[in-house]
Amino acid sequence: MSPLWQNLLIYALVLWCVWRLLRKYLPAWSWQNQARLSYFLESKNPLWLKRLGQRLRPAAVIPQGCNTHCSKCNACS
Amino acid sequence: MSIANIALVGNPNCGKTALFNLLTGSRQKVANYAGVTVERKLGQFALGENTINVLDLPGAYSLNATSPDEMITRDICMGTHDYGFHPDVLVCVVDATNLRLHLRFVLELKALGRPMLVALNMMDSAAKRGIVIDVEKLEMELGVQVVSTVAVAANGADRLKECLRADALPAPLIDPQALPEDQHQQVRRILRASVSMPRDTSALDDGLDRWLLHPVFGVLILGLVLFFMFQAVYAWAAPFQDGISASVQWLSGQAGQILPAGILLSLLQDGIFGGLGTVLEFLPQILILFAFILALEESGYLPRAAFLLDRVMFASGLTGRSFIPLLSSYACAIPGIMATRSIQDPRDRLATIMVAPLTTCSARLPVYALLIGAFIPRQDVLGWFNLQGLVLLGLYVFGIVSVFAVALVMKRFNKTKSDHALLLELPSYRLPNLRDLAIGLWDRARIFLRRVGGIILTLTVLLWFLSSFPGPPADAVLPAIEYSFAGRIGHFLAPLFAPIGFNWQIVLALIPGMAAREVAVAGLATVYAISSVSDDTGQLGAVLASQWSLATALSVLTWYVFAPQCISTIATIKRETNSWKYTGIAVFYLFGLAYFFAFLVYQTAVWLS
Repeated sequence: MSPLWQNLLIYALVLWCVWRLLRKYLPAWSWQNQARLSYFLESKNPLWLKRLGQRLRPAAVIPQGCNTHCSKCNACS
Repeated sequence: MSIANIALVGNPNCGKTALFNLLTGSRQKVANYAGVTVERKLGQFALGENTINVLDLPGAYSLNATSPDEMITRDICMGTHDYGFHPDVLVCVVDATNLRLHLRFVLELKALGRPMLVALNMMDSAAKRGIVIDVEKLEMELGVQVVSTVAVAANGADRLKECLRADALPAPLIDPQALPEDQHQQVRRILRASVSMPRDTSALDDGLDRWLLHPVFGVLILGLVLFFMFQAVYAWAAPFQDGISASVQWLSGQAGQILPAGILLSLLQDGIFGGLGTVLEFLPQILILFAFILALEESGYLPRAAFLLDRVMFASGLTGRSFIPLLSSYACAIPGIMATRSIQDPRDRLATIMVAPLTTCSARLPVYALLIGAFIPRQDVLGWFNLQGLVLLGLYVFGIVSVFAVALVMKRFNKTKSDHALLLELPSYRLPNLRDLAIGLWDRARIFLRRVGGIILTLTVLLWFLSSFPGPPADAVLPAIEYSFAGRIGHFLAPLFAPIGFNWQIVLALIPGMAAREVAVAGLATVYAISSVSDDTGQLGAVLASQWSLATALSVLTWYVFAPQCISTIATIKRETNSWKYTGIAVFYLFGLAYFFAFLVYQTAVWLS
């Protein structure tokens, strides 16, 4: 694998980890920003951007953090 | 219209959650002591063409609620607050071996006039003790339908399900002409009419309690049990740990043969295999510890331990009721803090919440095990005691002593304590069921592996990235990590921690360790793997032993006894106290104690050496 592909893979993995971290510790904030990004992309003209926006659309319910009444303490983390 | 919603109610430790698990197929925690369930749990099961929603409620001795968990049960039973759930039927679960206590709550529920039925649970245990219950007579006396259940048997809830097939259940008949009668008298009358029991209590329980609750022998036995537990953690885990370590190293070697040298191989070898592999090695120790804890939970011994320690706990400003929440905190402080809802006195509850993070949660075990393995020689003391096990026990005892010491200080600041006698229900002794034990251990292993594959993987990858980027300049003379983001962050914070003997690598590992304590181990493994100038990084323990002084190792161990290195715990304190003030106090005093004692230990160790 060429160094370029290796770097691209690493950057994608790091972005995914940052997103997971935000989803866990700042669930409402990350949901809002994901929704904002999705809305922005969906309003753009090229079809592929619209589709990307649709794919990025977050779930209808704001994900819950570890300090809410999910009754699964120590199981979901 | 058929029954759609049922609520399981009853006294604590009557088997509601076991019944809930049996009906819904879920795996909520069950144990042989009161107060395991402190929150409502919702599940469902299919019955013919219908789906029935089941609500498992915290146990309550009466509708006159005295603690936050009992209030939830009271509100739903009385309909004063439905929490979005309207039960069509109240299923009152009672322990067939303890009807004298449990029937009082049945009578209270009956007086509400809502459709209900009684699930006569633990009928197998009752039969073993020679208790004969005439179900039809009991049904007549109570005026509500009664069904026998055995929540721990596969088909133990079949009769309950049959009853729930009905379109609706009638509300209990309340005779307006009946003379008012004391509940205790009423229970005695019902028992006389429908139950025959050879003796009030179990002969086996009485015999065991004579020794286990003895003020001297009881405490000695408790100490021996704990001592044996920690010895076993070290003595039994070693071969499994070596196996995991060898497997991870083999996988890392295979990756080196498949992938060319480069950034991706570094991520795999230094980050994922180095970091996650090191954390994974501690799985056997965690499982051995939990095997003991689960067996003790199932046996019914734990409330006895609470009873034994009540005097000490009361003297330090806690209560015997704090024992179970504090014990739960040995798995994780979060369920421990939540379990304080069963404590009636708000001051006692607050004190327990504040000291719960001091108990040695399982996430600390990898840190302790790593440093003990690296710095304490594997040798026998007095013939057959394991020195490493003794040090581990010492750290746990240090945590327990700090719980009492902090509670004592809090007691001095807050003198508004009202005296509450410890009223604790002692359950019957039970032999731990091997299947339940295996399921409990499997759940524990899954939780740990999910953490390894979840938050620990995430943070290890991020820490590896920060430790690898940006790369060193062309004329670099130091290891590459010194020029990275992580190196700069570590060096920036290091002066703050220098008085307690932490180097910049430790400081760096503490940051992701705030998310989960074990991440510090993965963090150290990653940072030292990247720092290494040679290809052969070796085992983390050996690397630490060669690069840290004993004073630094002791200081890190002391730091971990106190530091609130867990964001989730802090968030739970905020939720349960509903106060930023108390959350702030908890964080401040825990970090303060961690820094103070680490400083004391480090400086003393340096001075002595």
